[in-house]
Amino acid sequence: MKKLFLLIIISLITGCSGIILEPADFSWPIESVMETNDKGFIQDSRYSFSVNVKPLFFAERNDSSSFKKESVRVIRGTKGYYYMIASGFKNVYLFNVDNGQMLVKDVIFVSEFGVDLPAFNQRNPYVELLEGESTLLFLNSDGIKGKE
Amino acid sequence: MKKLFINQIFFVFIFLSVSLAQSDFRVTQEFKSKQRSFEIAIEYAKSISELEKIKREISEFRSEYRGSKDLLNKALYPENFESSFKILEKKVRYTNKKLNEITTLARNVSKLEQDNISLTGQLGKLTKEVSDLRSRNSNLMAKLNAFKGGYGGSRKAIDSLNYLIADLRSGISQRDTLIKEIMDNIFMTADHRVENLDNAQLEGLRGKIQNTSLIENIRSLVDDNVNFLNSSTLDQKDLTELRNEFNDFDARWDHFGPKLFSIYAKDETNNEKLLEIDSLISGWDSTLNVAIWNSIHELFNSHEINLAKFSTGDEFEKVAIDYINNEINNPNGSQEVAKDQKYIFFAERVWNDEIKKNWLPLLLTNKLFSDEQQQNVELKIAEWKENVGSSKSYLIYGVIVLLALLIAGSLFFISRKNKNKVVDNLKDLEDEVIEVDLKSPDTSIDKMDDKDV
Repeated sequence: MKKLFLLIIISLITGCSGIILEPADFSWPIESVMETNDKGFIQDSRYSFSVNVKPLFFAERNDSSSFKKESVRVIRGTKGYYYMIASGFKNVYLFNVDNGQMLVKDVIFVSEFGVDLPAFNQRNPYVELLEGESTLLFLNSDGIKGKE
Repeated sequence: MKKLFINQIFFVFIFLSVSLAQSDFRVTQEFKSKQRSFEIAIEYAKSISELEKIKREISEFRSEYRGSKDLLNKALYPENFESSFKILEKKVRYTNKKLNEITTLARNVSKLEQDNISLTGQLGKLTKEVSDLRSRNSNLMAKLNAFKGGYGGSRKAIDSLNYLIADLRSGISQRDTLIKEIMDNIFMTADHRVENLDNAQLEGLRGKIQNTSLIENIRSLVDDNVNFLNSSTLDQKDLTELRNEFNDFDARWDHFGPKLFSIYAKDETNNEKLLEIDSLISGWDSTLNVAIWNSIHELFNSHEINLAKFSTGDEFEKVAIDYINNEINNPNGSQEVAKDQKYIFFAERVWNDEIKKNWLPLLLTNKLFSDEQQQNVELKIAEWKENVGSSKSYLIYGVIVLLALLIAGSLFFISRKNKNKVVDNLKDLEDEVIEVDLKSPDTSIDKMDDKDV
């Protein structure tokens, strides 16, 4: 009887745990390069989202007004994390979407001197980080997977 | 182990291609930028050959980016690699069509420009010819006036005068034709409404009008014609020609006059000149009509038919009818023979032989005289004929009776004279017989037989 009760409980828990759709690929074929507006927002027309990036610049430069007239490069990886970088950043920031917010998942250190001409390429299952025409890193949600 | 191997191969491949590393975003942007450049180049292509060159470059562009086709298929959303080139091809086709149209138009424009150059040359030539003719005509007009002042009436003088008039008339006519040609040439390219011409086109027209002194030439044309009409007594043939020339010019003025007024709508000086010309043309018409009526009046005068002056169809009708009425109703005025002569001159020599035959077509065509007016005059002439005809018949009867009496009297007289003569002869014979009987009866009988024989 006790076993039967446990079986019923388990089957009920399994039934209520939601539907899982898999496999899924959230990767963007190409990065989006967006300029910040006066209020610190970036907006993408193709993927239709906007987000306030002032905290990102503050985290990188310790200066809340350093977002002005900057471009933020964003690409979404296979697993759905957003990779962000801007010119002169020393780190690549990984974000996850949660309840109307973007929460940082990881900060990947790239260069002490900052990356002047950063760019992302989608190289499934990785995201390639370039400096000008040179590959710097291959990234995934777990961090750096390769280096030149 | 297997996964590690795959990863190693992946990185080897990536590192081998490090020197080729390029931002996908940059590739896409460059592609878009080049595509846009091609769109602009196509749009601004000026010739078919330039468009052909662009087509070749597009083909190279396509080959250059063929390697990035997969990337571009995704990155160019909602377009893709192929659709991007289809857009370019469509634009090339459209521009090609437009360029073909432009080439055709350019050819037409080139032809029109050549025509324009040729016309401008012609205008220059015509203007010079008009100027020469103007001065020649002025000289002729002066000569004509001087000649008329000292006109002596000799045969030689009349011939010279006629020659001078014919020469002047031909000069004026030639000059008028040239001015009409100038008008046609100037407005040939402005068939559409002048209001629709742009400023450059209007300036072009004004330039041509000024260079050819068109307004002054038209004014001089009208002036000269009026002066010529005032200086000469012209026959029906001349006046018919002059009337036709006036009608021709008037029709042209109806067409070109409003265009000239539009062109100079804001130019007070030229506008006034045009208004003056407009009124001079009306004057020309009236002068021509007066000249026609004067010539008809002169025609009657030359046949000793003194009509009162007339200068319209109504006046002519009234004057003619009054004259005939006067002739009919004035029994004591003229003698019968003179009356007949007047009728013959008026009705036959002038009306039938001249007016009806030569002048009425001109008068009727130009609405100077109506059919009804003609009929009225002819009815009156018929009435006059009847009147003249009845008096003539009384005269003839009188003459016949008189002749008959004369003949009868003569016959009576002759017959009476002959009778007396016979009686006398018989008496003489009797006397001779008695005398013979007394002398010798035989001899006397023989003599008597011989005499009888």
